[in-house]
Amino acid sequence: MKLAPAAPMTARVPLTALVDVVFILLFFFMLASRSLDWRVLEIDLGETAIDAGLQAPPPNNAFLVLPNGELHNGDGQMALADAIGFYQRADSNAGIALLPAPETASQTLIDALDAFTAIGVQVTLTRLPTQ
Amino acid sequence: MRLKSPAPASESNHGMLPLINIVFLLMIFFMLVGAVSVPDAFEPEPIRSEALRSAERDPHSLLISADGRFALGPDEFRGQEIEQVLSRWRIKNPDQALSVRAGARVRAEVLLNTIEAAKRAGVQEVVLLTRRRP
Repeated sequence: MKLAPAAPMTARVPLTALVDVVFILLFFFMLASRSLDWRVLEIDLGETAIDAGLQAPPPNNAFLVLPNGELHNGDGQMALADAIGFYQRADSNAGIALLPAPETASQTLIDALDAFTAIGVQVTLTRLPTQ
Repeated sequence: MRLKSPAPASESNHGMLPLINIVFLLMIFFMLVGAVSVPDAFEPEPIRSEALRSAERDPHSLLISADGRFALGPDEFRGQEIEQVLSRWRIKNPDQALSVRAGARVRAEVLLNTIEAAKRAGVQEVVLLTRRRP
């Protein structure tokens, strides 16, 4: 008896259905996942201004951070860059305290904190006493 | 002149293979890079900083919005309840640092008072989660 030769195997993967499923999975992961790049900022929280013995106007190593981003210390009001220059001219190794004014936004305070830590200054955040 | 008849269209799906490859790669990228999580109560506009230490997104961050709303992950609570909420959180997570995500326009005084309240509630370490400046 002569058998007919076996038909050649043709691998047929149903690609359309596969693509549908993969697209659905892709959309799921795109929409459900979060991939934000978060950074940690350690907060060195000091005492309140009164507890720390600070009086208004603050002494030279304490800066009141105003809502417009300017700083105020015992020598008066100045821009952030001037405050850094002031600190560097003072040639002090002591850290500084930053006190936010009542209407100062967190971003403004962190901008000042960043600017001082960038030049290697130890910064403590301090609060004005609660009214 | 006799034109050459066009080649018969292939019935196979070979043209789709590069597409599938790319889609698979994209899917693997999102699976590895993204973290699927329960959405938070609200998303405060993040503070930008120059901080270098990167962090994973904490599903139980303390959230503070500029309009005075507070939440611990997906659970919103009133500002007056902060010490009780954080005391309960500390009992559940005794060795964990509390990560705070405050909105950029939140008053700094509110942020510092909140951190102070966390310390009063017995939280040992508080960190501020920020986004890197563009």
